[in-house]
Amino acid sequence: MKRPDEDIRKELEELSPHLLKLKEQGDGFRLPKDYFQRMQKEVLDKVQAGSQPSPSKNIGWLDRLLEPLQFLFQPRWALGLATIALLVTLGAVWLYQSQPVAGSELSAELAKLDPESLDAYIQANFHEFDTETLLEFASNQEDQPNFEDLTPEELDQYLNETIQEMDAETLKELL
Amino acid sequence: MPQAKTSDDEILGLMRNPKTLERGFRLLMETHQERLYWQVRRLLNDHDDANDVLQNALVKVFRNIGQFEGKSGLYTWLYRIVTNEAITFLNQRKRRSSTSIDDANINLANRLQADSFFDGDEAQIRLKQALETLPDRQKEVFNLRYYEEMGYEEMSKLLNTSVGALKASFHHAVKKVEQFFAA
Repeated sequence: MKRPDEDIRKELEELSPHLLKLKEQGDGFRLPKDYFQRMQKEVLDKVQAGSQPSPSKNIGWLDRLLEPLQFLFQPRWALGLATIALLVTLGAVWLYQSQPVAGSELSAELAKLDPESLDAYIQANFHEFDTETLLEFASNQEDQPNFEDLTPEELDQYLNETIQEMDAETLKELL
Repeated sequence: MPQAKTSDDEILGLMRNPKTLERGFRLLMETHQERLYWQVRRLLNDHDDANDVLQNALVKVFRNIGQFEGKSGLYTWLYRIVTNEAITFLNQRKRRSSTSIDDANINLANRLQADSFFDGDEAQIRLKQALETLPDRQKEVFNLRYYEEMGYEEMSKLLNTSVGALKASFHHAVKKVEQFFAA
């Protein structure tokens, strides 16, 4: 039975005589025989089996900032992130290439094609183009008349001829 | 309470030299192991758990001794590592177990009665049960004051808390324990 330190004894006398009495009986915990010697040996075995202590280092602000992200540099995370980055890049390239080329770039591309192929393509993909693009393309067609110079009668005739040349399906879509 | 027989400087000096590293670490354990063990044991109650936690913490101490900057005393640094390890262990145990407070108290009583390294009586088991109802920090303050008989000034440096707050915490803990006994 251990006699409590005078300071804590006085404090407990005021606060809780019951706890003071209990304290004098000890806490009931015991230790295995030679525990600390054996524990020391076990700890030393563990540290000898493991790595040496890490050297002291001055941690900079960048190191502190990156410290929570260190796990990303582990091989499995790094491999996973590299795969995701590659897929995202490939996806972005594919999306970019599959986008219709707009505006003046389209005109430049279209200018390289022969008029028959171009016409066939536009007929087949009519809905894919916006009005401005179609108008720009139309203004580049060499065999089209200049509508501003046509009289109303000539314009009527041109439109009738054009309608007659169209197949029924295209005409239906336009109307 | 065992006092440090060796100075921090002596231990750290030995541990900085690879040739005397092991001797320094052995000296560190001899100097501080007993206080650290009892702190962990009183938080966890079970000897085997306390042994596991203390050993893991000491291995971490060895591997990270280079990080000790000397801003606090060596024991303060060791105490924080060991206590942190014990509280992490406690939290993991709480997460694994979904038992109510009543069931946990019955389990604790059963465990202590079956523990070959516990020979306390019914009142001592009740005290352990009462302490389990305290928040971790309050339990820590209670253990340091009641069992370790640590002065408030020293405790203030160790826990980086004001003396007034520690006194209030201890007094509050004592009242809660009394209420537990009275219930």
